[in-house]
Amino acid sequence: MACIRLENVEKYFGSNHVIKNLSLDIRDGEFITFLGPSGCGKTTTLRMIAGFENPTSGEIFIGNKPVFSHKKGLNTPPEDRNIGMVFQNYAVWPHMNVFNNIAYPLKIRKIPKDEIKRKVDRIIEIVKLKGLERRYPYQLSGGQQQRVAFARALVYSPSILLLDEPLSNLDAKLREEMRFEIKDIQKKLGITVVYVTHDQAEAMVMSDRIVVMKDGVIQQIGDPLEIYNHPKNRFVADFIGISNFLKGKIVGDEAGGKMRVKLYELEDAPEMEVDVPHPLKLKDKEVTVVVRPEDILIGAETGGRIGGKIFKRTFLGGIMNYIIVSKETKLRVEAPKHQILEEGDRIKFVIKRAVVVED
Amino acid sequence: MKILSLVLFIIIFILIGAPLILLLMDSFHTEDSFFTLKNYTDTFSRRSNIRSAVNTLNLAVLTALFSTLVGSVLAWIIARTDIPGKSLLKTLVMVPYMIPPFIGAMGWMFLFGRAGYINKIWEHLFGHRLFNIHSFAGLVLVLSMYVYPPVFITVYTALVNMDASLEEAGRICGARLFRVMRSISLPLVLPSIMSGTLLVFAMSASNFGIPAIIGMPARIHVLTTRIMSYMATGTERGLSRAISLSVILIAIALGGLMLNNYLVSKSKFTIISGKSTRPADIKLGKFKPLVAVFVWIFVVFAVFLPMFSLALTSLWKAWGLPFKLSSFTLRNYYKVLFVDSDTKIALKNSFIFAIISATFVTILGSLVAYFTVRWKGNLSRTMDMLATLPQAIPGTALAVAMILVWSGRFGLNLYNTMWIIIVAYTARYLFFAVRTVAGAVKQIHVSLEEAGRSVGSKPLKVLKDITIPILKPALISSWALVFMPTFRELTISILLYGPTTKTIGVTIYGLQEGGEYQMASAFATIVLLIAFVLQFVVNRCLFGRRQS
Repeated sequence: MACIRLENVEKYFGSNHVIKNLSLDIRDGEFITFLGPSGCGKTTTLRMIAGFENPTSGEIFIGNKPVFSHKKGLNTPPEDRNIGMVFQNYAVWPHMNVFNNIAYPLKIRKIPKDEIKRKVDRIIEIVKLKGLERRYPYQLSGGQQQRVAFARALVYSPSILLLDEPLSNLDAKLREEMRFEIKDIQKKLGITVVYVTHDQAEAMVMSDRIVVMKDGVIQQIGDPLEIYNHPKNRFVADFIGISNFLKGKIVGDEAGGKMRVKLYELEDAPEMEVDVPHPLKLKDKEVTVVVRPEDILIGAETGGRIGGKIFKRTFLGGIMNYIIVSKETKLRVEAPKHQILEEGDRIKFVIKRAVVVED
Repeated sequence: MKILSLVLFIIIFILIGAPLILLLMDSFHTEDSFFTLKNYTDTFSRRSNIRSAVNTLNLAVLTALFSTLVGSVLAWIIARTDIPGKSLLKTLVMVPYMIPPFIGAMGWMFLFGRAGYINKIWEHLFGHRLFNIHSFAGLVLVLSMYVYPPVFITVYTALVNMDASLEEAGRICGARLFRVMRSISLPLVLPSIMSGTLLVFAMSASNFGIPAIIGMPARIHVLTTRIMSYMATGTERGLSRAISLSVILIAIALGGLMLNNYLVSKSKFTIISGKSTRPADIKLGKFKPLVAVFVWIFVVFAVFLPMFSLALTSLWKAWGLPFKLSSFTLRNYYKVLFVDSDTKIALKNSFIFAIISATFVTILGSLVAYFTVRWKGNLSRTMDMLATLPQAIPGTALAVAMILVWSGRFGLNLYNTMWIIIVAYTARYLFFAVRTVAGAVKQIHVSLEEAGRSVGSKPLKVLKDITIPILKPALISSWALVFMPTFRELTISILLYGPTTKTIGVTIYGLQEGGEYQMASAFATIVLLIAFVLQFVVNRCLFGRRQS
């Protein structure tokens, strides 16, 4: 088991600056996820930890041991970093059967035959591949191939496990199941996991902490709840979950992480207390406020004072989804499925929670 | 449509099926009995015939092994290492593929023949010749230099397209670079290597030009040269022996290619996934200069020196004059292009034959391709099989088969006319057009044609307004693909030419045989220049087209 540390890591592809001064501490035994849109640098960062890409400058430590240092000219090759990795397309070797695929890393380490057998059998049990040892990859389903890739990455007890969008090639149902299984295996082995995905649901379910990235810069690091409830900026709020963005005018000074703002874009320009979880750089009296769809409640009985009109209704299965209009501002609202309102109905609503974000 | 496809089938059958069947039947047929092995026993009662068959096998096996080694090593170096100038090197090592083997053989002969340039220099320095090209080893060497490109390109493609993560997974598991190469990359490209080897085996067994120029002066005969000698006798007996040898030759070449098809169909895994990143170049470090020097020495020997010796010979006033400026002249070129009636006629002939054959092949081949892709069924499958069969049939054997059908036996005597050559070229190269156009037809979704019908167009109008315009690049490229090899063809035309239908290949070969090295080289150099210019133009046009 090991922690990972990146210090002032920069990466250029030619003149393209893909990672910009990235520093990050990953704790021992932690499940950390790099989350971001494609091209944000998450896979590049993972591949730099693995040793397949070299930073242009900066340092990388695994278990407090430097594996890359631009200054010292140090670069440990991937095979000496004692890392396990599962690739997006699994990279199960087509010319070896399941057993040989999994046994390969042990053979490299010159482990005696009977011990190889024992270790492979054990890991095959864990990933639920029993009975398929003699099969070749072309005789396996996508899900089974993925289990082989996992087993191969874990069989030699590496100190960290790198996962590069391992679920993106599976169908929706299996993907859902695998999320829990991966988390289970990680807990059982206590291994440090670095996970790369663009799927926020995956990140939410599995991670201890999420690193949200954009254009090679870390936008926010935090546990899933914190990232969801207190997004640091507009990008994070937009990328994680659904957000309504409103303009607000500051009417009271900040105190105890709260602030009073006037939401002048809504009917009757209501005033309310909003969360200010992160220090703000204020230019003028204007701020951007994020309201999550489930934090808006419709109906006078909920204490609603703000006037609006139902614009559109869509049924999503578990919930009823409304778009309401209040003084030309459209808001997305999630209501319980039994609350049925017609398009065009006049309504009153209340905003239960709102948070200020940087633009 | 049904009638049209039946007519097409009959044409293809007469063109390809009938000659081959007749060849096989005649090999078992004598005047006194319908089915007998007497032709074969008679043929192989002569030791020299047995030796030529054994030579063919030995030559094909050794050449296949040697060129596999050369092609694979070059492919690995150019595809995977950080050697400088990779794209230039890739183009250069493919150049031998564009050079007609018999012309290349001439170049090698001028280097390492009895009075070859390098041998002369060596003799001057050390008192003995460096290497006698007119030997079995020389034959293997020269042949390898012209048949390795298919191995190179298949292995190169496999290495470049290989999913990088398969190798990265090996690294991350703790394997060193070299071990990853050995235990993961090599097994994965092995099917491609073997496929290239078997293809080269068949190509080597079928080759005529190189054994004719390198082997015959040393009295080393292979099946193709032996068949040519027997045909040249013009006797019944000679013909019957040529027929049996042709069947044996076909069996050898076809055997190699069928084994290849079998292995390809058996190979369980495909490694091309396409979406992944290209593998990173391997850093050669301190070996880089050594590897680069090795590759460049190879390129100089395989590509530049033979062409250089050819060009040098073409400028010589007479073979063996001292190396002085006054010994050189451009007169040989002037003679080839403007004075000598033989070479002038050959140029005209070859252009005409190539243009007509390329046109025939493109029309016939596209029809076959269109029918076989659009109408599934036994007729269609047999037609496709027949049309692409000649790629496995050595040109020498095909030419013998053509003589059997078209020399008056069925009322039509094309012998000594240009038509027998054109018919043979059409049969030989039909598969180029079928393959190229079939690939393009598969890309056209039926709905494009159906859309034409739905707006009120008749089938033929749809063909003219929609299908053919979309297929145009494929049609042009198949025309060019046929024109280029037929224009400088030797193997078939040397068996089929008549007094007025000598081709470029036949004429150069004749000049070479007659010891007129300067004229032969000048003519060969002109042919090479035309071939390179054409190739360049074709690449430009087709490449530009594909971009749009």
